[in-house]
Amino acid sequence: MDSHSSTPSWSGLSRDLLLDIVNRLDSRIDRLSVRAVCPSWRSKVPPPPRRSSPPLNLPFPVGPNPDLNPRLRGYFDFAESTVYCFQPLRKISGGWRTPKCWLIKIEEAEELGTPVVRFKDPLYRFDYYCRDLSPHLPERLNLLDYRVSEIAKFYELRYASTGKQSLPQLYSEIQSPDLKSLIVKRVAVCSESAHFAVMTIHTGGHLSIWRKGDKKWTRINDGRDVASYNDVVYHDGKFYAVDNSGFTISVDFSLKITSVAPVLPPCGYNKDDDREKRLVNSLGDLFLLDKDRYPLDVFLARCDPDDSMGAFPTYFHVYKLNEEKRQWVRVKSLGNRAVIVCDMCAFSISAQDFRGFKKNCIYYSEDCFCGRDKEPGHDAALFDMEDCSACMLPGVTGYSGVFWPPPSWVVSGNARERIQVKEDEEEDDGADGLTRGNDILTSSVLERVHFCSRPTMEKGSQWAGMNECRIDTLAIVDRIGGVTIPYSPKIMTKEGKKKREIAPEICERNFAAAISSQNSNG
Amino acid sequence: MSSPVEQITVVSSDGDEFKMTVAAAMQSEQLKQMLTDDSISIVKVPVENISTEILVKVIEYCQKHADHEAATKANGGGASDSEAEELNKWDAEFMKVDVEDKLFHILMAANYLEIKGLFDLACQTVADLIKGKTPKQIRKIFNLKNDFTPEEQERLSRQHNCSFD
Repeated sequence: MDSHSSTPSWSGLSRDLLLDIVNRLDSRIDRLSVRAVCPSWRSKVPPPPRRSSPPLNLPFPVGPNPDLNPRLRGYFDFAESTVYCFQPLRKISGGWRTPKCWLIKIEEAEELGTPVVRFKDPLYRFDYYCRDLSPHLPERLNLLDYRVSEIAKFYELRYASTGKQSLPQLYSEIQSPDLKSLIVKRVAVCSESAHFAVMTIHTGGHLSIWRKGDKKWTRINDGRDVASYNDVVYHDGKFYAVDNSGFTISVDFSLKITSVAPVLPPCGYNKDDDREKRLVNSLGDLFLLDKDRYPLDVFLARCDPDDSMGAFPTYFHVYKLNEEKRQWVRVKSLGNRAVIVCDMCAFSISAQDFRGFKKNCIYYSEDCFCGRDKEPGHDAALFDMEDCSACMLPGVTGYSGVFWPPPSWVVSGNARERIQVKEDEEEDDGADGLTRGNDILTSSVLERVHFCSRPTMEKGSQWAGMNECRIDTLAIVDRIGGVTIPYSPKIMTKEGKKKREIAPEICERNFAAAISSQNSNG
Repeated sequence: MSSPVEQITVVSSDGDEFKMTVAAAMQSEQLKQMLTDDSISIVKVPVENISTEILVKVIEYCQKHADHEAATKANGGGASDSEAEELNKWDAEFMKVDVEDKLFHILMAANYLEIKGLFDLACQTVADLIKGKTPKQIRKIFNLKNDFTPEEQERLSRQHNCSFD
């Protein structure tokens, strides 16, 4: 039996061998690509799990809070987001001004037992809501027209109420002692097969961990009375947490705490309390970002009077962890990497592999503006490590379009490979691969993912302050009036086009009716 | 008990014979089983599924790794970082073979002869070829046909659109 003379047939690879290969692929996208190659491979490779972490309800509250309203009962829904980078499949003209990639964050959560998928801008603190954004977004985003790479994963805990006490609709009405327990600022997750654990910073800077199977959270006791941790990440098999002085510890799975780096020597301008520290994984190393601000006189001295539009006095001190020496070592350059850091996520990306990012820069969001009416990206800024200066991102030509607005090739679909349907030639790319996109979206109940044309909020589950677009929305809330309009499920047809035609009218009518009834009720 | 052998002979599917040191042969679980089984006295081992071309490569791998192991033992324990790195580099060069033909057969051979190191290496090489590629690119690399039926294509193509409202 001489198998060498026969043509090797990769499609005939046995299931075991194929799985051996596929199990070495970390990214879900790669797995989906394999499944889209041919029916033989598709039948042998099971789809990746919908989420790499299991749907979870975590106990609420995380830590004891004597001021917490005792009638607030609930749990935390666990939401996972993945940042993907879209790149065109073929060469795009347009010079260096057209970024060659688009970064987007897709979040998958389960709320009240229903899977939900949302699209977010990685830097924008709020979700996309599209009433005014539709001209910028393509009508349809066919995931197979692009090369999609998984960049990083992030997690959030969202409070869901089970008790009779529902949260006030408006963020400003929530009592601040309650807020301390409701808001979980940073979440780090270890989702290896052997262990699963979640570590968070909560209730004003305390660190706690939840391991799979635990009934309650366990506070990490580092021996100090006061805790003011700023950030926590999972790195190299352990959780690392840094507090606002730079003091860093690592916690392993058996809850053994090791001091990793001492308090940072004072540098820069502001006091520790006014500066926020963030941890970022980059190429296997752990970096610390310390956000500082130039005092006014220093800032003005640095500014070029002709070019100061959009300049900010932000200054990042960047350190890299040297575990052997047990200290944070100052670094002046990020090399070819760019770092993206915002409220919800912090990650790094190679500016070489993903053209459109400026190397040796930190992309972040400035806290100063909070207007939701503005377009995404209005508070995005760029800190250039070369000259230690920060400016607003939209002002930086050629580099802002990686987030918003989507590059022209995304909107126009020019990224698609030429369609030529000839008999002996390769088939239409549009119909090609297919399932890869489908598989990404099968985590949602619907076949289609929609950006809702209005922000929505499910009563009783989400608290005000987070305008979110739900694709399986059952209620629409006008963000100004806080009115709830029941949204008839009958309207949700499979034909997206029809839905678009029907929905706005009904919305408007119901909205008007609801407004008038609310007004009459006083 | 049979007298200890220094070398064994393996015969490829083309009929060519090759000598392998015992140390090299022990890299293969299959051959190791045969060697340690006293009831078998080995003269020649036919490996029916493996051609000469591939067998030569496989033996080369086994010999290199056997030598490395011996050197490590002689140094009394763990390989130094630089030695390990050197071996990795050698492995990487070794795996620079054409995908369509050699890589496939090396994978099969490593699987058949149960050579763990080579098997892992081959699988990882294939995985690295897949990483970051679109389905179309993967097909091109491995010379596969897109043989989904038109119905499957139609149905699934409709499902993977996300529309922005």
